[in-house]
Parts: sequence; C-alpha cells; structure tokens
Amino acid sequence: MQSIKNKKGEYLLDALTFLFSLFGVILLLVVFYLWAGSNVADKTKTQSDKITSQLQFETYFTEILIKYADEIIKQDSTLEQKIQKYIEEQTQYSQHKNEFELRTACKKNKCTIYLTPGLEWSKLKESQLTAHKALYRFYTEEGEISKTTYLPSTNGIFQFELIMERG
Amino acid sequence: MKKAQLNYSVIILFTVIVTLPILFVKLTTEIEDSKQTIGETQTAILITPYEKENIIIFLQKSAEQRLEKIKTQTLLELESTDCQQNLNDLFTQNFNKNLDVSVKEHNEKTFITIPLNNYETYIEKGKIHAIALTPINMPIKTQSTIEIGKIWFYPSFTIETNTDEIDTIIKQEIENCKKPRP
Repeated sequence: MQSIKNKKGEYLLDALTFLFSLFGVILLLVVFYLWAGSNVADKTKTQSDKITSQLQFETYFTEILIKYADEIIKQDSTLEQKIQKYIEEQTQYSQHKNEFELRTACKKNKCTIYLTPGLEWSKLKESQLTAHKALYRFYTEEGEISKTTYLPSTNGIFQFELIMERG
Repeated sequence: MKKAQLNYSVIILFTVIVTLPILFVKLTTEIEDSKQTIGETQTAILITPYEKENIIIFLQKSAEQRLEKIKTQTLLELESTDCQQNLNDLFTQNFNKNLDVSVKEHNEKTFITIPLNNYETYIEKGKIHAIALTPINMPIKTQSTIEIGKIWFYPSFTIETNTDEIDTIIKQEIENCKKPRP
C-alpha cells in the first residue's frame, strides 16, 4: 500500500516538474520574443524616421528652388524673409511654429541658407509626429545635413546650398 | 533517474542554456548592425527624383533668364533672312544656342552630363514648350561618389511668358513678313 502511494507521489512530482519547467521555458521564450519584437520595431522606426526626414529636407530644398530661384540668383534682400515665411507655413501643420532660425550668406557666385533648429527635440516629443518633426528630431539628434545645386545667373552658373545644422 | 526524465532534462538544459544565449547574441549583433538608419546607397536612391527635379529647374531658369535674348536674336535673324526662314525653327536654334551656354558650365562643374542642342520648341498661347529630344543619363552616386546605378529622363519643361507680349510679337512678325517688300 505504502509503495503504491509512493509511486503516485512520484508521478505527481514528475508531472509537476514537467509542467513547471515547461512553463519556465514558455515564459523565457515569450520574454525573448517580446524583446526581439520591440528591437525590430525600433529598427523599423529609426529607418522610417530617416526616410521621412530625408524626404522632408529634399522637399524643402526643391520647393525653395521652385519658389525663390529668382530671389536667390538676384540675392534679393527679401529672400530670408520669404523663406522664413515659407517654412512657417509648412510648420504650422506640425503645431510648432518658428522651430527654425534662418540665416543666409550670399557671395558673388554662391548663396548658402542655414537652418538651425530653435527648440530642443525633447520639447516636441509629446505631440503627434509629422514629417517636419521627424526632420527636426533627426538633425537635432544626429547632426548636419546639406545639399547643393546650381542655378543660372548673369555671371555664369551660381551655387546654391541649404544647410540644416545642429542647434 | 529514469531515462525519460534524463532525456527531458537534457532537452530543457539545451534549450534554455545553449539556444537562448545563441539567439540573443545573434539577434543583438544583427539588430545593432541594422539600427544605423538607412545607408548611403538607400539615401542616394531616395534623393534621385529630387536631383532630377533640380536639374529641370536649372534648365528652366536658364531658359527663362535668356528668353529676352533668344527673342531678340530670333526676330533679328528673321528680318535679316528676309522672312525666308521658319520662325519656329529660328526660335529653336537660338533657344538651344543660348541654353547651351549654361548647360556647358553645368556639365563642367558636376558629374551629370546634360546633352547639348537638345530641345525642340513650340509656342502656344504664351507658353513656350521645350521638349527634350534625348534623355539625360544621370548616374546615381553615393556621398562617397560610388556609382550605384543610372536613371534616364527627358528634361522637358514649359516656360510661362507674358501671353500677350509673345503672341503679339509673333503675329506682328508674321504680318511683317507677309507684307510686300519695296
């Protein structure tokens, strides 16, 4: 009788050990899966942020060219004001106006526009993410981006550069 | 310990102690590698359509800037040939000649070769349509100037002019040509 009871107890213990270890392994796998998943999601987010911000920067550059090429070529005194206004118009959709400080430096055959973020990215983090904010965030955290092209002028061709620099 | 229990313990031990660390190390390494946003190649491909647009803007602005000169030259030549030449042909010739000045300089300063003498033009309701005859073969290059591919595009564009002015000039010139010469 005692031996049958011992046998039953052993089986029960084995079953419990099995279930407990199985539970442990499943738990470990779930934790691992969640960790891996969140890392992959982070990776995708970093890439999509970079793509979005790059596209936003390229859009700024090309749109500034389309709208203000004549002012850039002539080095018009209203150029800075006009570009400031254009960026303000773009940023109003991202709920944060005047996020950039802007300055221009024009010489004989070259005109450079510097855009410097005026706020820290951390102050914008809470609100909804837009392409503009992705650009803002990327270059306040990652560094500088610039682009150059040529425009025609009366004295041969003219270099135009847009630099977005770290604040 | 029973044989089955031993087997089970070995499997559990292998799964937990060996497999998970291997997976962890492998995944960590790969994720760290791929966390570097997007590479130079992807960036170069991403910005290519904008580069294309910027070249067309350059050509359009060059043509706009030289338009006055093109008009004057065309009308002078038309008069000097006693209205024997087609106005549109003369305009196209002068358009290409003047645009090529900017194009040559652009080709010298960049790695993109814009074809010379590449446009057919026609004027319609104050708009000058410049239709490219051959495409630009634009290399896609990374920042470290490695060529990763090419795209071809026709850099055609349209210039909006003062409608009345250009149409009036053309009409006047055609009328002048029709008049009997003394």
